[in-house]
Order: sequence, then C-alpha cells, then structure tokens
Amino acid sequence: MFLKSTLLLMLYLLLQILSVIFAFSFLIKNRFNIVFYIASFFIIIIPSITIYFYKDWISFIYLLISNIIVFYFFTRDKISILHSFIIFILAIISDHIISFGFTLINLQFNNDFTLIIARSISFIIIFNLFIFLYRWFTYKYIKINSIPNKITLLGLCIVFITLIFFYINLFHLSNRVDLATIKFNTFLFIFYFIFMIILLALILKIFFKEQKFKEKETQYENFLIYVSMLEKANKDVQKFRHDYINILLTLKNFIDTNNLNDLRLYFEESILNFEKKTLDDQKILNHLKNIEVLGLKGLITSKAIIAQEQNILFSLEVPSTIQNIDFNLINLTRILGIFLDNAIESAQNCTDGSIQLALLNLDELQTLIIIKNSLDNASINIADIFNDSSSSKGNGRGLGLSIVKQIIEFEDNVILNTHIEGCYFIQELLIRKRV
Amino acid sequence: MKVIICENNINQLAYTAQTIRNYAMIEDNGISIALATPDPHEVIRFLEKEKADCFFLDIDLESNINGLELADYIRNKDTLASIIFITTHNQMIHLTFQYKIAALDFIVKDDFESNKNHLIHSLATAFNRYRQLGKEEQTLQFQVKIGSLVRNIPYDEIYFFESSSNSHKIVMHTKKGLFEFYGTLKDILNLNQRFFRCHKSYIVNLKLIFEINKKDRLIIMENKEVCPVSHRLIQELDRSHSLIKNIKQ
Repeated sequence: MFLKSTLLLMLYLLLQILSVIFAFSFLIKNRFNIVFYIASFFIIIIPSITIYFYKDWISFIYLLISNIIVFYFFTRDKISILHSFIIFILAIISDHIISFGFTLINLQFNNDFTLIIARSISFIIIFNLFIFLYRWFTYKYIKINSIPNKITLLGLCIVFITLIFFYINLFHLSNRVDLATIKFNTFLFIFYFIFMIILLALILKIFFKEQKFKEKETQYENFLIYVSMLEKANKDVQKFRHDYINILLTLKNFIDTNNLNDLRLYFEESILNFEKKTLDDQKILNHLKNIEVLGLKGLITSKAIIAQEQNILFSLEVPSTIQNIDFNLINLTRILGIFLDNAIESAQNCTDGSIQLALLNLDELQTLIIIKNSLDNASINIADIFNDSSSSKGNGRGLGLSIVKQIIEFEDNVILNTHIEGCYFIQELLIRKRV
Repeated sequence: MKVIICENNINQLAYTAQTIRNYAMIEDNGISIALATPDPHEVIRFLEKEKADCFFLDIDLESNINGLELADYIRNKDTLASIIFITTHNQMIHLTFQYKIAALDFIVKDDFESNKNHLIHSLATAFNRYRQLGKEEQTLQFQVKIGSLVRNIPYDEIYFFESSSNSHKIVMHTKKGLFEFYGTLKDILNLNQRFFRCHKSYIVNLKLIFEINKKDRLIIMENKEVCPVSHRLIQELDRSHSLIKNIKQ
C-alpha cells in the first residue's frame, strides 16, 4: 500500500517535471534534438525524483537549478533563465489551484490511483493553459529581443524574489495541509504573482514610451535637416537663375557680333558643363520627394550630407512614390543607417568614391532597396563581415552588420543579398508585403 | 528582329530610325523597325496585337506616361525583350534601369557622334541576345532573381546553401557574396551531383571543400567558412567527396 502510493506520487511528480520541460521547448519555438531530452532525463528528472524522497525542499531547489542550467546550455540565451523561473512559478500556482479546487468541491476518491489521475489531468490542463497565455502575452506585447539587458535583469530579480517567497512559504512556514492553509496559500501566490506582473508591465510600458520618444526626437532632428536642405536648395535656385541670365547675355553678345566660332566654343564649354553641374542637391531632393515615409526622408538626407562632406558622390533614385513599407520603421531606419554608415566609411577611402542608393517599387507588393558603394578593400570576406568579432575598421564597424543580421533573422518577409561586383560593394534589401 | 523606337523629339526619332535602318541594310540581318513614334500609347496599342523584340525608349515622353512606366509595362509583358534607354545626362538612374527594368543599356543623348556608335553597339548586343534565346541552356549555373534582374551564378562559385531556422529562406554562400531566396533545400539537391546534403540545414558543394574534420564533424570550405555535418551522414560525405574528386562535371 505504502509502495503503491509512493509510486503514484512519483508518477505525479514525473508528470509535472515533464510538463515543465515540454513547456520550455514550446516557449522557445525550437525543436530540440534527442540529446536535449536524454540530458534532461538524466540531469533533471532522475535526480529530482530520487532526492525528493529524502528531503523534498532540496529536490525543489535542485529541480529549479538543473532546469536553468540545462535550458541555458541548450539555448545560450539569457531569456531561458527568465522562462525557467516563470514556468516554475506557473507550475506551483497550477498545483495549488488544483489542491484548492479539489478540497473546495470536496472531491473524494475511492483510491489513490483515481486521485492521482484526476490531479494529473487537471494539472496538465491548467498548467498548459497558463503556458499558452504566457506565450501569447510575451509574443504579442513584448518583442523580447529588443529589450535591453537592464530591464531583463530587473525582471529576473523580481521573479527570483517571488520564487524565494513562494519557496519559504511552501516548505518552511507551514506544514499543515488543511483547507484554510491551502486556500490562504493559493490566494497569496496568485495575488503576489499578479502584483509582480503588473509591476513588470508598468516598467515595460514606461521603457517603451521612453524609446518611442527618443526615436521621435531623432526623426524630428533628421526632418529639420531635410528642411534646411530645402532652404539651401531654394537659395541655389536663385543663384542658378542669376548665372543663367549672365550666360544668355554672353551668348547674345557673340550672336550680335556674328562670332560663330567663339559662340560654338562657349556653348560647348559653358552650357553643357553647366547642365552637368546641375545642383546635386536638386537631383537628390527631386527623388526624395517621392519618399512618403517620413522617417526615411530625414535619415537619407542626413547621410547624403555627410557623404557629400566627405567628397563622396551620392546619388539617389526613387522613380515612383513609396508610400509605405511593410517593415518596422524604427528597425528599417536603423538598418539603412548602418548600411549607409558602412558605405560612407568604405567610399571615403577610395579616389572618386561613390554611393548609389535606390528605393524601387517593384510592384504593389515588393519594395527593393539597393545600396552600391565603391569598395576600398577588394579582398574582404563577405561571410566574415556579419560576425561580431571581425572588424577591419576598428571598433563599431563590424558590430553594425551583426545587428542587422539579428533584426532580419526574425522577419520572414525580408531578403538581403550582399555581394561584390567588380570594385563595388552591393547590398539589396527586398521587402515583401506580409500576406 | 523587330525594333520599336519611342522618342518625343522628332529629329532624334528620325535620326535613330535612320541609323538602325542603315545598319540593318549593311549587315543584312533581318532587323526591321516595326514602329517609330513619339507617342507611348501607340506603342501600347501595337503591343496589344503584336510583339517586338527590341525597344529604344526615351525617358521624357511629354505624355501622361513616361519612358520608365512604358518600359515597366513592356517588361511585365515580355521578360526577355531588350530595352535600351536614350536619356539626357541628368536622368541617369542606373540602379532603376538595372533592377526594375533589367534594361540592356542606356545611351546618353548629349553627344550625337558617340551616340551613333553606342546605338549600334547596343543594337548588336540586343540582336545577339535575340539569337541566343532559343539556344540558351542554364547548364551548371544557378539562377536567382531579384526584381527583374536575373543572375546566373556558376556552380563553381557556390560554396554551400544554408536554410534559415524560422522561415522558408535559403542563404547561398558564393565567392562573390551571400544571396537569399525563398525555397527549400529539397529543390536544390537534384540539381547536380556535387551538391550534398550534409546536415538538416546545409547542402555543400563537394568540389569546394577544403578539409573534412571527422572528429568534430565539420567541413571547412575553401573560403574558411565552416559547415556542420550530422553524425549519421559523415561516412556518406566522405565517400561522396572522394568520388566527386574524380569526376569532371
């Protein structure tokens, strides 16, 4: 009899631990290979269950720590630690809700076997419900990879404290199993957990607001640069008109004096050259007005000015209007900014360095962005430049492209080609409208 | 080969048409001008019933559609037609020509003399393409498309294919750079025997392997990039690699 109930208890424990492990692989969206499950079995499951029969509270700690270690080892991502804590808390809450629920409805069972079955099924249902909610919550409201380490650390601390709190309560404060205690515990846990979630949500909300604000500020500054470029162009137009009149007068002079030769010379020299020198700014502004996505306008303007200051030939092509691009604008400006910074760095080291930037609407569903710049070092290894560690230009250079890779990796409607053609470095970014 | 010219400057139009006719007469190669007009709508009407192979278009047509839009229309109807732009100097939009229209060439309007040579040169190129169309076989080349631009990358330049974990994207690592496209690794396996699937997410070009590290189950390619090998495929990899070294193709 004793052996049987121990066996059943062990099975119930096993079920809970397995649920935790599966919940984790569900949250991470990756499918783990067989090694992970074997490792989990030997490192997490067997020791936890065996230790439980000696000292239950040690088993609890061991379970948590082994979970964290194994999960972190297989994903190398700090977010696993947060997930481990949360899953644990949710498992504890589920367990308590079931205990409370059963005693409340005054459920009686004929034998231990049916009791364990009932508890198991209820646990699976309630625990997985929580896990689904948790995943929905995090995927909908939080793009976890874009939160900086400080906030994740704060979140982790809060969750950790919660767990300590639960733990002390569970094993040390009371060992009674009566209804009042269970009821009290359940409500306490739930209350505390909700409190913790609200606190975290508030912190995140404030953080996101601050982010948005900073981005708006940068966008505004870039836009002011665009406006000043317009003003300068306006002034240039006036000067242009003035010069043109002078040229016409000179021509009139040649015609009046019947000086055909000089007329021909002057015409070829001045007029055609004059047309060629047509204000670069005018050309760029002409194309800029086709970009109706404001954030991009400002960014391209600032980069164009920086390029021109470095004596880099900058050309912009936007043949048809671009009204919207199905990509997070902040990330897009970040990516384009990195590409253009790299292009400027490379082109400034070349004689007659140039940068060509084009934004093309291929059809209603696709936008193609192309950056072509003169390359200073023809022997760079394309695969290397996306890595964090490699950088042929000192700090900060190599880092940019690895950030781009991170951002793009999670988006499935973007294609990026990076290649070298002759002495040019070309990047093609194709963004498809998500269906 | 049928040629259409659309240019709103009547003098330029006549000059271009004459140059082409002279060339066709001298070479006697069957090039004819199907239509020469300043009106793009006439071109569209013509294309509704008939076909042409080579187009010379001006950008500024002083109509409600410009040369670029006309070219876009032509390209959508016929992906293989040769399109050549005649443009003034400050309308040079190289990348647009290349990627959106896949234009064959563009001729600068400024200078009449060199104009003529460039015109004939691009006409000859278009004619060669026209003749090749039936015969072209994409042997030993992998085709990737972006916009209207089609790239043919020789197998000799492809190191390996890598599939991304959370989308249907494949990244192709070549000597010239990285190219991405939508697809699955299964489609690539059947292309050529040199492509070997050494891992769930990798297909390598056996001919460009630098070294196989059996202990760590890694392949080092000639560009120093590393590909993993699943443990059950390591023997087969070794075998296939030795085999391929003896095969020319």
